[in-house]
Amino acid sequence: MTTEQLFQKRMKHSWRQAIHILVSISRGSGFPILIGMIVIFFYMGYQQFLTWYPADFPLALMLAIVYAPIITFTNIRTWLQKADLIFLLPLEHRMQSYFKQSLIYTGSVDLIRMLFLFSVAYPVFRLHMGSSLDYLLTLCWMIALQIMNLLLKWNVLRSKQLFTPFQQKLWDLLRVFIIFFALYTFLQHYWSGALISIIIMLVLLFQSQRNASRIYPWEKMIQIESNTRVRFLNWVNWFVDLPFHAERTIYARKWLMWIIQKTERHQDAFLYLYTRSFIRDRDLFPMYLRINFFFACLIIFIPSVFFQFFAIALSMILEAIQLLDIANPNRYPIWISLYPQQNTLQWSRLIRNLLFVQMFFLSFVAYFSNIPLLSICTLLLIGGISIVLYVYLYLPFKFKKANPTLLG
Amino acid sequence: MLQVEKVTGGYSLSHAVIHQLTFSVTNAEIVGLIGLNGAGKSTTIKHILGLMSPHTGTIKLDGNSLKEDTKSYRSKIAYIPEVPQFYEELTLWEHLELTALAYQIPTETFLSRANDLLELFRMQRAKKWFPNTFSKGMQQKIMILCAFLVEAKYMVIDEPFVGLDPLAIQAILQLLLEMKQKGMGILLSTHILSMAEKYCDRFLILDQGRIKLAGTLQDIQLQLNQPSISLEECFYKVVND
Repeated sequence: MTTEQLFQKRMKHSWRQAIHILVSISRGSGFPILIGMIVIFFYMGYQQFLTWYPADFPLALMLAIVYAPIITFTNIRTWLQKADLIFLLPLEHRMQSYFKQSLIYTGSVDLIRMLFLFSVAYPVFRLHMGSSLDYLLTLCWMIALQIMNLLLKWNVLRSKQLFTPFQQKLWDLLRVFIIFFALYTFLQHYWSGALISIIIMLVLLFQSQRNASRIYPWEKMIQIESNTRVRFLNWVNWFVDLPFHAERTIYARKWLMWIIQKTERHQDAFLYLYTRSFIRDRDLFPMYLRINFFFACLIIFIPSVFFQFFAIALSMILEAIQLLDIANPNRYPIWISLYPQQNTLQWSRLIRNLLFVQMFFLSFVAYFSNIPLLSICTLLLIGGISIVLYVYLYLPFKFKKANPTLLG
Repeated sequence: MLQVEKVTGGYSLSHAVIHQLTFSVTNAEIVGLIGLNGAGKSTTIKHILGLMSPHTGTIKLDGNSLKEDTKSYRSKIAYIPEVPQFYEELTLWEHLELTALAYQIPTETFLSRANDLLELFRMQRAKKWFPNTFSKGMQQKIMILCAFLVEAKYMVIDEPFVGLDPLAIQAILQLLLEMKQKGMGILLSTHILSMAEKYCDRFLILDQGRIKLAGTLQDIQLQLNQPSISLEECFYKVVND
């Protein structure tokens, strides 16, 4: 088997697995309903935005802000595994075509993603920024930026120079900024600015190519691949219970833990554990903030009481699905079932509190964007009852059914 | 006393892994659980911990089964697993704090015991670190620290020495003896037979899920009619028959 064939085999196997998981998600976890709700919500909100859109709205700036991170984000898929350090390392001299395939695959996926996401901008582009030809030219410009971005990322990955995590973040930010500048200047027809940005990209590309090592960064690539897999499995975990424990990425979040330590009363072991799980998990806490921030912005910008109500409900559903992961017994080692103190559904207290905080926060935002007080009170009442039913009826039933020995 | 009475059990009702096991662990003694891979040692331990339910037979701690008094049963038993199992999101110190909370250890007692144990196992500098950055031996030390922190009445230990450095092995053996003197009943599963012979008071030799021989070394030698052979030789005789 050649290394290209090995890549193809791994890629196909991974897709088959992913499709299998996605099919099982779509069969019975509320996922299709959720997607349907998001699509309908987005469609209606977008229509409202197009009608509301004022003439002096900085559309080019908004498009650059939205699409620069999309162009910059790329996840080089290699499907390398730990065992490759033993079995493929001796073949390093023949791995060039493997990694070439990996870059072609990654570039294609990035391209498809961008084509899809940029097609969303077509109506607004066509109405307010120019012709279909302008749209196509912008698309070509974005594709060029995306290809250069991918090559730049690949070269930096292979760099002889070691980067600290902070330097790595700075470098990523720099790429986002250059691409933002390139896109903004192109959309505004500031040709000199666009030319300068593309020259900067080419110089960086050339420099990084010269600085790239001939030896592949195996361990780094294996780690990236493992992180991708964990992210996917964690996401899947929101909808279906995985029978195995996926390795997680943990962040210390010292500043937040300092606040928690100052405020918590150390009485319950399980609440102690669940709070830390929530705060330190790579996704749970940032996602909580993102959902709150995103829906608060929506509520401010969408001038319709109905949509504001709908946005709050949708945000609560999304957060509730996400927080399920805290209560999932598969997440923790056997210790939780050996402690003398019974796990009297302490996770429900944490989930309940987080959902209530979210509901009050978004209702507060809605109140200040002109929802009548009576409607807010109704919303709080319905939301409160839904949270209590979800936390005290649905969740205990769901997890007791999944693992009767692990919950009190 | 930990009493295991005619316990048969396994992962499925149709396929028992352990058969009619009967033994006890009294206070202030170390009982060695010995057997080949797949002999049923871990399954026995899982039954004692209540992670598996016996098909038939009973397991009692000081007269109560897990179902009769869950809280008391769990508070009386500490466990060191063979493979370190830790919370990725907690630091070493937080593991200790969590254990103290779960076993309701008063703060002052906790601080004193925790600091002594960290000192003994040379883990002070790592107490604010996350375990996924540790070596396997250091991860195993978390399990040991948490188990000894509790100072439970009974302790179940599954292969505790894998990956440990010589100083840590020495420290754990020393602690086991100290705890035994304080009255702890210890069930120790190990493959290091020379160490078992030196530190255990009694032995259970398990083969294919059944107790083949049990008792002190002298009892076992008598049963084999070989008065002067070592535990290792006794073991080979049992499993090779």
